[in-house]
Amino acid sequence: MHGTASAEAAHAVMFGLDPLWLSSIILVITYVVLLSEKFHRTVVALLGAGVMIVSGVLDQDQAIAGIDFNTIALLCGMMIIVSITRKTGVFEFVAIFAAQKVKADPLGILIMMSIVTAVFSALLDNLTTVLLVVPVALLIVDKLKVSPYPFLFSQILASNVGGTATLIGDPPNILIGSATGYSFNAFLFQLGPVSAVVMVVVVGIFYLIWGRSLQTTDALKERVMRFDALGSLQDMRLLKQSLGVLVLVIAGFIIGEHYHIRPGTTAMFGAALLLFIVSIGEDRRGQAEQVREALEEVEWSALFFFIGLFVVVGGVEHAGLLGILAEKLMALTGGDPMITAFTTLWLSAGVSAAIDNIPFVATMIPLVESMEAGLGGPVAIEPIWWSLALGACLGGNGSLIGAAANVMVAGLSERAGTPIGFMRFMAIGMPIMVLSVAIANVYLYFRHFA
Amino acid sequence: MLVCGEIMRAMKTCLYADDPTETAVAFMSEKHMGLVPVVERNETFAGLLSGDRLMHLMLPKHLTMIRGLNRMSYLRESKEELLERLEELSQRPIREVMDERAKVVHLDTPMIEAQKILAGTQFVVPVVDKETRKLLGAISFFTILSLLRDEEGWGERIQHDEGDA
Repeated sequence: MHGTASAEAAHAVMFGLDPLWLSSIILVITYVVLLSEKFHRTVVALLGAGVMIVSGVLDQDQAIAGIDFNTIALLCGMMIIVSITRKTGVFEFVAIFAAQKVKADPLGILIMMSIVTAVFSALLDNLTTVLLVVPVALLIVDKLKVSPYPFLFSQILASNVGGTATLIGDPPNILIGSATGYSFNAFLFQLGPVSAVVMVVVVGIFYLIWGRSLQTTDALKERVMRFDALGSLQDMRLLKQSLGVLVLVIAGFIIGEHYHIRPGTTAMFGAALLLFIVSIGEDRRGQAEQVREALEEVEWSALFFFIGLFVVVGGVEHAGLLGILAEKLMALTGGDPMITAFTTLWLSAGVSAAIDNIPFVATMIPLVESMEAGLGGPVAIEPIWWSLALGACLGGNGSLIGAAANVMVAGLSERAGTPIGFMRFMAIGMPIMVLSVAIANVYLYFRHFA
Repeated sequence: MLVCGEIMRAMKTCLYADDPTETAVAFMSEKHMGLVPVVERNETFAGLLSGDRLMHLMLPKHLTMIRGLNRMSYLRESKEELLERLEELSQRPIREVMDERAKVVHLDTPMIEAQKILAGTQFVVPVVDKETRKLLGAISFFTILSLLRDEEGWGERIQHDEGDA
């Protein structure tokens, strides 16, 4: 099959080069430059995409067809909704409320903040969540005069575990959900239980590691108890509007599958609805301001990174490389669904710890799709998809560069004057990653193969 | 043509970039000055230290950092907490807290350039020697107002300059 694709692409390829080799070289160079972090990842992905088209591996129509607009719409829609909701101060309120519920006890705050982050990560996305919660966590830690590192590490770990639970929680899940058409409910029922178990184990580990060392004085706790949690809620009308739309959007994710409405449509429709609601009563200038502010908060660089990546991966898929790799993987696992699933799980976890899990999953998706027929159809391939999701999301905890949320927390902590060392994080993150993937492995076995 | 050297007010400073910030805080507080120039030990211009910059640095860093918190309406701080941050700031060298990217002009820079800087965010423009970068004086909104109040004298000088040309 790949040979045909390769032959189809060959006619227009620059200097008559073999599209298989050319696309592979473009992919490898793109990933090497991405890994080097010498240039902004969006620029690298878009440049790689441009080379795929200019060199003739793909024409423009094929490149555009390769872009997963469901993923782009889902991310963009959620970013708009969260940017408007953020203005209400609800995220600060929840974080402060949680801290005060445990009487500002540092260990209690560590555990409560981890749970808050895990839940927000599942319902929004983990990247947005750490952006909202980590600055509040750092402020509270500063007031308590305790080491910020347990809090920073727990935020990273909890965001990746929480994000594993749902379709919208972590970019790899968004990509997989969009490619497979699996519903929000399917993700929740397949990945939710194991994420909850992993989260309990991770919180237990936090207790074992930091339970005794996190101490502060009553006077410093009083500083946190003095915070006026309700004072963080700025605009009650906007709060009701944005939370109302957020609930509708999550309900839309859950019931949308029955009406063939994909998550990207739900998120974008929710964003448009919220923008409409907040514009009511505003004059034309006020409406323009609302839209401008909301769109300014969208992480356009992340969206264009995805667009570039889709085209690069589309190029190697079109040239037939991923088909060949799928055949090799099938030969390696003997076409056994269980071995293939477990191999995918550990491979995904290992690679995701070493590199950003987004480009890895984007590459793996067409590869897994190619294995479907060999494994026996859509039902047989299902555990492979869940293995990929679990491996990529949980694997992100293995290192500081394993997931976008990790990089975001590292950036925030550096700006706050408490940089996280790569090895220092790895010493905690890697064992927790291995343990959580082992739990996922046992879960997959009993859920799909026992 | 009106140039900065003609209208500047001569100025000297006793604040050095390697002094601790508490020296600057004491000086500004004593003299009721909201902005002071800072020099290196060899008297070359190093930067500007302003009251608003000190206030900015005395805020919790989680509010001022990029992608930090965008509101603090829930924060209820005591005098002790504020004092702790001031003490922390006071120990840092002035170099770390001053604005070392402050825009400067030279003696022969057209005055309109200084006015353009004043129209931005900087309310005092230091005048430094082009060769040695030594601080010579400063121009502010008040310097320009003084110039305008004394219109007749300045008019004569302008005519004289034009006559020379």
